[in-house]
Amino acid sequence: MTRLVLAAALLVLQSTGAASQVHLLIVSGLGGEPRYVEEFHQWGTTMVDAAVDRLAIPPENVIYLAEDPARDELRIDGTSRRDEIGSALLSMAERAAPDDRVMVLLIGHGSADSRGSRINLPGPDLTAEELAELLTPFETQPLVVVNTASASGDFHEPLAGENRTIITATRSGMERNETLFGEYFVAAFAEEGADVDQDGRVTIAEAYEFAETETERAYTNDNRLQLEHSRMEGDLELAAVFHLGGTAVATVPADASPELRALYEERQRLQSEVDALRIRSTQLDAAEYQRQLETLLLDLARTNREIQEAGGSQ
Amino acid sequence: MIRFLRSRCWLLFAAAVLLPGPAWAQQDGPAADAAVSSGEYEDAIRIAQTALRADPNDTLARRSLVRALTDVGRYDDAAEAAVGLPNLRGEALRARGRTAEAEAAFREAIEAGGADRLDAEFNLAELLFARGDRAAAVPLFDAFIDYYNRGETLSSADLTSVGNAVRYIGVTQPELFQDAVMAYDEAITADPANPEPHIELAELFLEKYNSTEAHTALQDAMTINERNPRVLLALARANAFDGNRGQALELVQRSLEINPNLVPARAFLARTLIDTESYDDARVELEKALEVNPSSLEALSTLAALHYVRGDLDRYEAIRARVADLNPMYAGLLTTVSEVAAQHRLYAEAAELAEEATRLDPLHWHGFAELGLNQFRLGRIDDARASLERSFAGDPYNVWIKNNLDLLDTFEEYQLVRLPGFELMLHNDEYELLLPYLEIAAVEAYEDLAGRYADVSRGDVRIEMYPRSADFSVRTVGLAGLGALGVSFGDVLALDSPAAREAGSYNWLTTFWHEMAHTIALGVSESRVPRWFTEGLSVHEERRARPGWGHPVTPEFLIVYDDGELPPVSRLNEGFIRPATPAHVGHAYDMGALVARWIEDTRGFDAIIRMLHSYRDGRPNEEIFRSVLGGEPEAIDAEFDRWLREHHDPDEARRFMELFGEGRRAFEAGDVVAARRAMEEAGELFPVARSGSPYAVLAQIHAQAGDEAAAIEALRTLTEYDETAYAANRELARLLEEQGDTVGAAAALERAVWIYPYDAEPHTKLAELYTGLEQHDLAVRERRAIIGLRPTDRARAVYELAYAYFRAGDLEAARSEVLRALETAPNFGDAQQLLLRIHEAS
Repeated sequence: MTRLVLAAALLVLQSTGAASQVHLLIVSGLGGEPRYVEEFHQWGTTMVDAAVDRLAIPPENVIYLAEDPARDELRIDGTSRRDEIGSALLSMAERAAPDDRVMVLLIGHGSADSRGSRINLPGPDLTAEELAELLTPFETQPLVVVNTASASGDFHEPLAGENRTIITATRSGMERNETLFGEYFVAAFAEEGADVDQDGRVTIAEAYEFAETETERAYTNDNRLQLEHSRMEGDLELAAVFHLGGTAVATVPADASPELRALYEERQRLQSEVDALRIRSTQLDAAEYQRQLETLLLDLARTNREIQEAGGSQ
Repeated sequence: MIRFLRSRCWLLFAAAVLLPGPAWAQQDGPAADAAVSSGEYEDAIRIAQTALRADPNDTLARRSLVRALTDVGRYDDAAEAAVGLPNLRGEALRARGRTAEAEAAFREAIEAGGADRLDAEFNLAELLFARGDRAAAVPLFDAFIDYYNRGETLSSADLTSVGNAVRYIGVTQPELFQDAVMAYDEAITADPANPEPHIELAELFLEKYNSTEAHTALQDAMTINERNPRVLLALARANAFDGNRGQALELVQRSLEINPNLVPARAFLARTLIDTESYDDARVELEKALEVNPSSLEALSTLAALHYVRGDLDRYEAIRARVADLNPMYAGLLTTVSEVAAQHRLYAEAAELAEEATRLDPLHWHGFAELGLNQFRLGRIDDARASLERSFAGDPYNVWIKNNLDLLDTFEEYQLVRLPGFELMLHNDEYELLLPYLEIAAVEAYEDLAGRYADVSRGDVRIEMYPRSADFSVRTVGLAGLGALGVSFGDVLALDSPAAREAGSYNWLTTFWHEMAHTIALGVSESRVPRWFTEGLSVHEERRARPGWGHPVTPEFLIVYDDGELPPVSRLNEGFIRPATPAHVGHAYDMGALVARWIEDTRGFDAIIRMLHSYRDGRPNEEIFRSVLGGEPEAIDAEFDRWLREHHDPDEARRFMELFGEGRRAFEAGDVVAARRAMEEAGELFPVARSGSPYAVLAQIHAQAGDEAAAIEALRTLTEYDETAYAANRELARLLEEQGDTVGAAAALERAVWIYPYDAEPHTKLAELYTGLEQHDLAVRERRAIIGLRPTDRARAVYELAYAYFRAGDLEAARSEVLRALETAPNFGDAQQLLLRIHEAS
C-alpha cells in the first residue's frame, strides 16, 4: 500500500462515498477456554461501541452475533451460528443501498485442512466458501471482510472479487496459533493513533497498517517469535478510501454560501495539487520540492482558516 | 550474503575399553600393553622391564616400555630402550629436540618397512616441514592420499597418520580437512582403544574453533585413558577455549604431573599465565620446556610473546632470530605474538604482527584471520572484511571467522552517524530513538573523561551498538553466548543496545560510560594499563558520573573482602584473572573501584594519571606503588585495608544480610510488620545489595498499606541507588505527578527513559512534563525519541515535535518538521495552524 494510491483515491470517495452508509456485521465464534471467550467478547463489544459511539454508524446498521447472546443482550443481536449469519447478511443486503459500504468482521479460532479453511462457530463451522456464498447478494456494494482468526490466511481466494478487500490475520492456513491482530484492528477504530493522514477518519488501509505494526511491536516487546503475518489483498484502492465514519467529514454543507462553497472548492484544488506534487516528488530537486510543497501547504492552511472563519468545518 | 560453514556429522560410537584382567597376569607383554593403554604407566614400565629381562626379544613388552617412558616424559630412557623400534626412538629424540638423530631414526624405520612405516613417514614429513623444508615435506604428505586410496587395510595408527598428513595439505586444499576427519573416524573404528585419533580429531576441531566437537572427541578419549597427558592437555585447551580457565589450569597441571616434560603442556601453561599477567611464572614454565626441547617452536614462540608484551624487544628479536634459524618459513611465532598482544589490548601491534606473518607465509590463513580480527577491533572495517574473507577462502571451516563475516554482512542494517569526536554505528531500527540520548551522553562522557585524563584524541571514537546480544558477543569473542555487556577495543566500543536486554536488567549508559573510561585509560597508558586498574577506574568513573550509577559498595563485597577471599591491592589483578568463583569477579570490580577512589581521596587525582603514565612506560606494579603511592606493596595493602574499614564496616554488612533475609522471609509469609521493621533497619545500613534492596520491599509494603508518602520515600531511595530501577522510576513518577510534583516526576521519568527507552508512554509523559516545566529542549529530545519508536500515528508525532521546536524557539526546525507532518497529512488542522503561526512569527 503506498501513500500515492491513498492520495489519488481520496478524491473519488469525497465525491461518492460521503453520503453512503456503512453496514457492519461482527461475528465472534467459539472461544473454548475462558480466556478466549473473554477476549473475543471484549473485541466484539469494543468494535460495537466504537462503531456506534465514535464512528456514528446508525445502531440498526450494526449487527453483532456472538457465542452467548445472554452475556450482553444490549449489544449482542443473536448467536453466531452459521444460519444466523446468513440471515443477518441477507437482511443487511436488503437494506443496503447500491453504494453503501459493508464490512464483515470475524473474530474467533480458525482452522484449515485439505477440506478448506473455516472459523469455529456454535454449531457447524463456517467455511470460506460458505461465507463467499452468503456474500453474493452484495453485488454492487463495496465490501470488506476481515477475518482475525488463526489459520485465516486461506480465506482470500474464495472471497476474492471485484470491489472487495479481504484481510486475514495470518498469511495462510498454516499459521495456527492464537492471533493478536484482531485486538489491534479493533483498537484502530476504538482508540487514537491509526488516523495517519489526520483527516478524522480511519480507513481500512490505515486500520490494517496500524494493526500490522502494533502486532509486530507486541511480539518484539514480548521477545517472542512472531507466529502470525497478516495479509490484505483484493481492491487496495478501495481499502485506501473505505472508512466506517468519523467526525471530520470534509464535505460542503448543503446550506453553504457561494463564498464558502468557493473556499471549499479552492481547498479541494489545493489538496489535488499537493497530491500531484507528491507524486512528482522524485522528479524534482529536493529543495525545489520542499519550496513548492511549503507554498501549497501554506495556501491550504490559509484556505482552511478562511473556511473556519466563514463558519465552515475543517 | 549467506555463508555456509562446512561441517560434518560426527559419528558417535561407544569406545570399547580394554581393561587388564586376571587372564593377562601370566603374560607380561600384553599386561604391559594393557597397563600403558589404561594409563598405569609405572606398572607398565615395571611389567615390561621384568618381561624384557626374561626375554629381551619380547617386542610387545619393549614397545609398551617405550610408549610408557615417552608418555611420562622419560624421553632419553625411551630412546635408549627403543632398540629395534626406530620410529618410537625417533619420536623420543624429537621430543628432546634432537632432530638430526630423530630424522635418521625415522628414515631407518621407513627403510625397515615395519608395521609403523607410515607413522615414520609422517613423522619424517612433519619434521622436515617443521624446519621449513616444505619442498621435501609436501610430497611425503601427498603420498598419504595414495596410501589411503589404494584400498589396502590400514591400521588405526596408519589411518591416524593419513589424517595428520592431509591436515597439512589442507592448507591449500581445505576440503581435505573433511578427509582428515574421515580418516580419524576410520582410525577410531579400526581400534577404539587407540587414543591418538581422538586427540588429533579434538585438536583439529579446536583449530577450527569448534569446541563442542572437540569435547565430544575428548570425552571418548578419556574413557580410554583418563591419565593420558596429551588427552588431558587437549582437554585443557578445549576448556580454555570455552573460557573455563580454572578447569584448564587444573587439567594441564594434571597432565604435567604425569609427564613433567610435555613441552606443549608447558607452553600452553605459560600462555595461560601470560594471559593472566603472571609473567614470572610463565617464564619459569618456558625455561623448563626449553630445557627439555630447546628447538620447540611452540615454546620459543610463547617466550617471544612474553618478551614482546613485557616490552623486552631485544630478547624478542633474539628469539625471532633463533626461530628463523630453525625454520625460516615459520609464521606461527608472529601469530602467537599477535594473539598475545591482542590479549593485552595491543590491537594495532597485533595487526602489524599478523600482517607480517602473512607476508612471511601467504598460505598462513590463521595469520589472515588474526589480521582481520585486529583490523576489526581497530574499526578498519573494509580492511577487516578483506582479510577475513581471504582467511575464510583458505580455511572455510573456521567458525570464528565465519561468524565475524556473517556479522559484517549485517552492517548494511546500520546507520553511521558522525558527531564531533565520534562515529556511531546504530541499527536502522533504533538510531532515531537512541541518537538524541547518545548525542548528549557521548559528548558529556568524552568531555568529562578526556578532559580530566588529558587524553589527546587520536581520531574519532567509534561506538557500535548491537540490538541483538548474540551479535555483540560475536563482535567481542567470535561466538554467541558472551555474558558481557560492553567492550572497549581502545577507540572502538561495542555494546549491547538497550533492546538487547530486558527492561530493568541493564543500564546501557552506565555500560557506555564504563567502556568510555576504558578507552581513555587505554589511550593514556597506550594500552598498557593492567586489568584491575582499568576496571576499577571504569566503575569509579561510573560512580562519579551520576548518582546511582555503578552501584554503591555492597554488603556482599564487604563480607567477601573481610573473609579474605579477595587478593590485596597489590595483587588485585588475580581477582580478575583467577577468581575463586565467577561471582568473585564482580567483587573484584567493586574493590578496584574502591582502590581508585582511595587513591584519588588520599593521593589526589593526579596520582591516577601518574600511575597510568607509569604503566605506559612499562614500569612494574611494585615500582609504581613505591613511586606513585609512596609505599611498599604490603604497606599499601595495609593502608587501603585500614581506609576501607574506616569507611565501611563488614559487621554491618553481616547484620544487613541477616536483616534482609529476615525481612524477605517475613514479607513472603505475610508478616508485614516484621518485614517492615527488618527492612527499615537493613535500609539504614545499606540502600542496595547485589541480592536486592530493602527499599524495593518497603515500597511494596507502603503501597499496599495505602501510605503513598512513605512509598514515595522508599522509591526515592531505591531509584537513587539502583541504576536499573526502571519500573520503580516509572512508579515513582506516577505517584509524584499525582501529588503535583511535576519536577520530581520528570526527574524519575528522565531516569527511566535513560534506562530503557523502548516504551512510548514514558516519553510522551515526560515530553508533556517538560513542556509544562518550560524545559523545551528536553521536550524536543523526548518528541524525537517518540518518532524513533515508529508510532503508527507518525504525522501527529512529527507535529508534536514541530510544536516542541516552536516552543523552544527553533523556528527553522519547527518549520521543517511541521512540513514533514503535513506532507503525510495535508489537512491536519493542528499542523496547519502551527505552520501559519511559524510563518507569522518569522
